[in-house]
Amino acid sequence: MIEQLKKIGLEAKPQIEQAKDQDQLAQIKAKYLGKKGALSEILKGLKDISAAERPRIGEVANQVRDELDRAFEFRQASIQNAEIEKQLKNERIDITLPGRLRHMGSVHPLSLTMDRLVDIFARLGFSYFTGPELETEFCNFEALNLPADHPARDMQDTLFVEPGVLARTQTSSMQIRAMLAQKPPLKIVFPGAVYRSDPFDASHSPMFHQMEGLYVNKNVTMEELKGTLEHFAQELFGKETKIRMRSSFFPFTEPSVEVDCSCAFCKGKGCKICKHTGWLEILGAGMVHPNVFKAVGYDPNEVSGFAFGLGIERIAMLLYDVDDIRLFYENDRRFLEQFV
Amino acid sequence: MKISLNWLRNYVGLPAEVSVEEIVNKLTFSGLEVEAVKDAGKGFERVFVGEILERAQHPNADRLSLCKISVGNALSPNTEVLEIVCGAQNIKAGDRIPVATLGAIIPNGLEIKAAKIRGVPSSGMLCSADELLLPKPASQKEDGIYQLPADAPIGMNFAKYLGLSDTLLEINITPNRGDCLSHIGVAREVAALFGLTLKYPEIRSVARWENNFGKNVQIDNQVDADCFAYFGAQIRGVKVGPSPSWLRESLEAVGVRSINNIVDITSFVMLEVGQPLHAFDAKKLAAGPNTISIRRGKNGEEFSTISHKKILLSEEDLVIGSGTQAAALAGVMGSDATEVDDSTSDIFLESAVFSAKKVRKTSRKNQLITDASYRFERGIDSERTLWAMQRAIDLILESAGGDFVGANGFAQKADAPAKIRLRIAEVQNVLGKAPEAAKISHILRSLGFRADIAAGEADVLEVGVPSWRNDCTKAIDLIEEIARVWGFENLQAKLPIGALNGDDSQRNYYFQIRRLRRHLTSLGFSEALNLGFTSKAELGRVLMEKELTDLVTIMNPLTVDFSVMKPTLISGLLANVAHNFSRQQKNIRLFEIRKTFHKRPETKKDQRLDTGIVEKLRLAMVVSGADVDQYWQGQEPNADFYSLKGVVDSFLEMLGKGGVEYVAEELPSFFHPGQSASLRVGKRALGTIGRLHPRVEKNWDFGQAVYVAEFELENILQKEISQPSYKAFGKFPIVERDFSATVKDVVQAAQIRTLVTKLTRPLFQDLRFFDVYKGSRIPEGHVSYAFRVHLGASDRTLTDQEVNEWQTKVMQAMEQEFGAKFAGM
Repeated sequence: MIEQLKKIGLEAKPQIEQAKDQDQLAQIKAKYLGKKGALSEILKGLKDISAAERPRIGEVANQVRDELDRAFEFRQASIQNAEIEKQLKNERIDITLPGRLRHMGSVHPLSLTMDRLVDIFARLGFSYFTGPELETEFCNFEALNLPADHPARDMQDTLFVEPGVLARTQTSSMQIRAMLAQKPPLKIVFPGAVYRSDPFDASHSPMFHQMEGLYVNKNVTMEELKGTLEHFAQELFGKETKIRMRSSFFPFTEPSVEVDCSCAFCKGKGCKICKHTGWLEILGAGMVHPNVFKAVGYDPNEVSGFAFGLGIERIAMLLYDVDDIRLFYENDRRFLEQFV
Repeated sequence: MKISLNWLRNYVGLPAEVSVEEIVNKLTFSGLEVEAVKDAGKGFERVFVGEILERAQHPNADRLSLCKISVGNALSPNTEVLEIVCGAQNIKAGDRIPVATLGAIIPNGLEIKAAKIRGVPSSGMLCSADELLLPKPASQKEDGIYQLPADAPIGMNFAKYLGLSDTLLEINITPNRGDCLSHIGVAREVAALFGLTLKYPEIRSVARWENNFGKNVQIDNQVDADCFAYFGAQIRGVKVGPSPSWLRESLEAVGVRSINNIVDITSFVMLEVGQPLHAFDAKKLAAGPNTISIRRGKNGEEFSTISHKKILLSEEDLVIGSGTQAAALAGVMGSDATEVDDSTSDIFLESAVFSAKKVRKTSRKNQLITDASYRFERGIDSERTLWAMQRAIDLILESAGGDFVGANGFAQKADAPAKIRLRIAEVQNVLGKAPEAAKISHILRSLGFRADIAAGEADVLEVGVPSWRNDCTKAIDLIEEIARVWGFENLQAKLPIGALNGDDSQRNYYFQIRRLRRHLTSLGFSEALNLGFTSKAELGRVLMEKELTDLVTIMNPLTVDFSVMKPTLISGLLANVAHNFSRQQKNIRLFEIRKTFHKRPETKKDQRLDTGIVEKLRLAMVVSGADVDQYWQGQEPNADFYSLKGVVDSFLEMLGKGGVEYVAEELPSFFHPGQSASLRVGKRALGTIGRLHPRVEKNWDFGQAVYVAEFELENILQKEISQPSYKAFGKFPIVERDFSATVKDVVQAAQIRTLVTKLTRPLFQDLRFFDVYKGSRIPEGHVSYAFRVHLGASDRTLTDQEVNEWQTKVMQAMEQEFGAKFAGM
């Protein structure tokens, strides 16, 4: 019987090792190790064997079974590996083909710029406030110290809706609405669209965007205007940026200044963008004129303040190197999608 | 304002060491922005007068000559001889010619470098008039090298030789600085900025003026309030002719064309001191040479300007009259009938101050903006009106001869020049750390103000404003003067640390709009931005005439394209679609968030603040073509109603807007009636969505389906941003049941959903359609909906029996309500 068992071991092992696939392996397993397999068949004869000899036979039987089990497991593992290998090989894809991406949308560069500016001033505590684009002559001109028949009205070509109502020429009109609606202190930025009777060309558009800022409180001096604008220029163009102020004229501020910042592109050395001056004109500003305070019922002896206004398109053209303002309003996909 | 530096030097002695750059900088920083500097000598820095010592044939070229040239000691102390190859034929030994030496960049942009020409080195270039952008000298007939007279000094800089030494500044004079619209005005600023003295030209006719005063001239002022000063003078026997060269050159230097000596002198004096003058031909004055009146125009009175423009006057206009004749529009322009011409012998000269407002009105109304009207609008120094008259008389007698036979005039007593009390503390209140009192008075005095410490008040200055600074009336005006001369670079910089603004409620909307923008871009939409205006024609491609109500129109549009404020954003987006389609971009996803404008029917409440116009913030979207431009697994399906609806539903959910109904009602005419919907919550309209009407698609020639949507953001954005609050999800399993119901095709999916939701309310979790079928397998006019209902309870697992009962209820209700037939399930 021991011989029989050993013979089965010798016969079965090579078959297991050469099994081609899981099915064949299962068949071999059933044939030798199954309930009705060869091993079980032999061990059925155990009942005719003496009790003294049984343990020894049992031992051999176990040895054979263990050996075949191990061979079986080993073979099974290697067949599985081969199958996975094969699967992996079949499932290989070209990873360089493009992904299944939807087309990318983008926020308009003027919105991006406006958001950035609003955020910079939010850090200094400026609220956000907007109002009508079609404005009364009172808010757009009269209350801003620009009476009718004042030559300063020629600085802007105005589009009228009817006598007394016009397309606002400047976001400064929002200074008036904000001050009429609220009591000082005020610290607000007003972004929005403005209109001029300018034909389209590379640097003019009949509608464009501005952002006005206003700070009114007790004892506000021009030093705070300078500090605010310096902070703004450095946040926008980098820490090393410097500003300079040139005397100018706006009817609603006095003193009035034009503000330049050192050119961020050539670090002040002079380049095409700054027209070789080393400086970029970025905004106009000044101390709120006493007549403006009077127009909104504030007492210029009690409060003072500063205001500034900048062109969003101008900043966006600098930031994104856009050389023609019309690109902002054509809405060509090839332009818009560069701002993803 | 064009300012010639040579002209300016007549009134202020600029030291040689003051560079043009310094002048430009100081003027610009103190408020007279120099926009351009034109140096007449530019390009001539290395061009000198030279002499041809020898002209020989070029050894290797028949057409070229090899010249030995002397430029004296222009390049080095030792006279040097240059060898230059030249191709021109009009030169010979002994000629004096302009020579561009190595390193020159001549006016036409050519850079002169050392070169070998046909094997022979050439160290410079002999120049033609063309190359130097100069006119050919009158004496020279032939083309070729510019020929100079034999006495031209060898080695002299060529610009200097020609007298091209002037520098022209183009200055942007702001509207408050009418006093700087003249050379003396700018010289006064330069003098203040550099600490120099201003000098006026001497007047020689003062005594004669006084002798003649009251003779031969009568002035009848009928408009007291609008004419503050008027002086007239009569000069007989002048000889009208070309101006002397100094006068012609002065005017030409600042771009003014020379006409004749009389007209040129009036221009010159205006550009010198800022006072506009006018010369009439005295013999052409209808009421005779001696009398003029200052009167109002008559309604309908005809007037023909010097430029032969015919206009009709009204009582608003100020007129210089002679008898019934209107000889000039006061302060604006003279008439062609009284113009000085070559045959003029007697002139009537005027120097006056008219009301700025009146001049402005007349000039605007008739679109006659002249050098005179521009200056009158911005204010005239009334103390120079008589001076300018006398200066002009001097120059006319000198240049055109004649006899000064009579003068008359008046100047109303002007308001005493403003006196302003300026407390030093006020300066500090505006500028912070400001200059000291002594410095402040020094600055003010340098600008021609009087500044004295008030008696008994050490910290107060009494400031007298000079006659030319009528823009200064308040302390703040003086503070600006102080600041601009002191220099803003001296200002400290501080951050504003004051209290916050009380009201920041609009930021909520702004944040929601930013989220909305980001949401839509992540779904493949790009943000567009269009102008606020459009034209009726463009709107007509989208809306019917009867829908064009409440339009807001522009009274004075630039062009008809920009004449109507947009009542919808759709027209703009469709123009963008057309733009992209015509550039092979056929897959379009755009949105725009901007305002639309609508006239409000009610009358205005408050003229100061109420525009009578409603501005609505809207979101509009447009979709056409595929989601993905190209894909290697085949074409993506094209967008349809449901792709846009999916985007809309997702942003409504993102913004927390629930309970939205889609109904096919109240649609604008540009929508396809079978593929479009209005969105509403209760009775409140949110917007519309759908496919363009085939008529509109055709109007635009789109050639593919285009879907649009437009929303009133005010009805969608939340007043306060609501925080999501967490709800625990059920512990017990959800049970699903599928239904396949065939109903008449008038039954809408939303009705089925409403019915099922209502019926299974305590257990209802969700309902999802997974198939919709119309076709040959079911009767015509029917539709089959397959949907899955999800049921569940929060406190137990539902039993099969329970669920089956609900299922039967749903089926029965649908049979009853919609006549539904159910497929075997």
